[in-house]
Amino acid sequence: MNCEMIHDRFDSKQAGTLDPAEREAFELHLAGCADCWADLEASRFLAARTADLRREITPPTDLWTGIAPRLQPRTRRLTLPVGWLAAAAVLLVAGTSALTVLLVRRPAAEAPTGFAATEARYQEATLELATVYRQARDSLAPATRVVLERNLAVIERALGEARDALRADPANRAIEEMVVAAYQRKIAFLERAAALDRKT
Amino acid sequence: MRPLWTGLAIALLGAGPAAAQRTTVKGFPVAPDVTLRIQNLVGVTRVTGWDHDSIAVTAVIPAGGGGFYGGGRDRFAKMGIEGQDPSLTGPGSELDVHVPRGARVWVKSGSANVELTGLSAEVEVTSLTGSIRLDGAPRVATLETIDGDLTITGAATVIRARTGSGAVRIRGARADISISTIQGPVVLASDELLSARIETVSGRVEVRAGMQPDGLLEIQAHDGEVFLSMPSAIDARFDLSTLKGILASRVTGQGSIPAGARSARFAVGKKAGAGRGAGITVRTFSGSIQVDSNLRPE
Repeated sequence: MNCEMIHDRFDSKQAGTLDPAEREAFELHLAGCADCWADLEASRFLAARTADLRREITPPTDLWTGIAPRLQPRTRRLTLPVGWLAAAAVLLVAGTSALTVLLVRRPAAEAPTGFAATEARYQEATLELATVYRQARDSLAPATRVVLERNLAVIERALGEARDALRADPANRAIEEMVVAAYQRKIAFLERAAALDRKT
Repeated sequence: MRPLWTGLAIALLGAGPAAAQRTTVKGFPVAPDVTLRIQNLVGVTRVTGWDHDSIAVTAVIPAGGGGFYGGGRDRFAKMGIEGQDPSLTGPGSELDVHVPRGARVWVKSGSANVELTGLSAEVEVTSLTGSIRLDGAPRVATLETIDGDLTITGAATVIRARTGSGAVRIRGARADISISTIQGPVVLASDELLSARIETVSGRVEVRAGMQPDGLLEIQAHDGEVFLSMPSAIDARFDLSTLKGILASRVTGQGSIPAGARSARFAVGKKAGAGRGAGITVRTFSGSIQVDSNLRPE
């Protein structure tokens, strides 16, 4: 796989839908490509930040209650012109749409909660360290890079498997702990990698 | 203790086919608790504790292998090889250093192997691919490598051992042990563990050990196999759990674990039956867990 193919598969990787052969090729490439690896980190960071956003918004019922009485068929209003009713319908649609836009925008500013928040913090830390490593990477001896990235690929694979398992069983605290442990391991290793200087 | 070296002596030797090889010998007095920093990225570094208040070093440096630097007095000294090939593939230098037993020793290596013996205070070694071997009983041993093996023999009080794909072998330590690997296998053998924590991603973990009455052993692996061999007279509470792996236990005095079980909690022995005793916890994602209580020699 080349870098473009790797980027095309970020979402599938996140969703855990890569088939075994694709997954192996993906991880093989990632082990030797710091750029793709850092991009994947950034992608994960973004995914964690947006994981808790609502996928759809139902307008609150109090909005409807404010409008509904005016649309209730009343004996004397049965004679209302059709144009008025049409205007009310337009108003309802416009109001609902505007409210939907507002509500959809509002959660974007909200921080993720629960385990997603925990994971977001870990991803933020790993992204920062990955960036530091990425900057230092070119100054490292090729043999050093190979050693570091081979180990990082193993950590990455384990983290991916734990995250896939958590996705399948989101309420499982034991898997949550495994995901956290995998992040901690990754952070510790990245700290060591980032601390290596030109001499090694 | 008497200083063996009272001054500075430098000898430059070399002849024949190894004409380009230089041997440097240097010595100087220091405090018995001197802090010594050593850097040798390629080759081999040997540090030996001795009963003298002085440091003596012999450096053998091949052509193109850089140059020796070093010195110090009282409570601080440093030495090493400068100008080594940063790709770690150049010719390696040999550093043979004798230090007071109570010295605090810090060693930095790249691909150089490091060997330490007879030290009683603190040692800290970092390497990239070089192996690290410690023999003795320092108070604190912190050994870190990315790809090298770690071998520790003796009753160090505190051990922090980290490697990526290298193997960790610890024999004889009893006190506070922390081991972390990525792919490297772990073998821990001890008569009586007080506290040990082992983490690995895919390395095989093998513990052959007795436990102190209130000892703690925690093992966490992703897909690495875990094998525990305990004495039949063990007095401990076991908490074993795997998400996708296979769990098997043949501990004397323990009830049977149903086939296909992913977790088991049980107590063996009098204290453990009363909620005390040693605590043994193993967690894996997909690595198998096997426990048996017929401790066999390694």
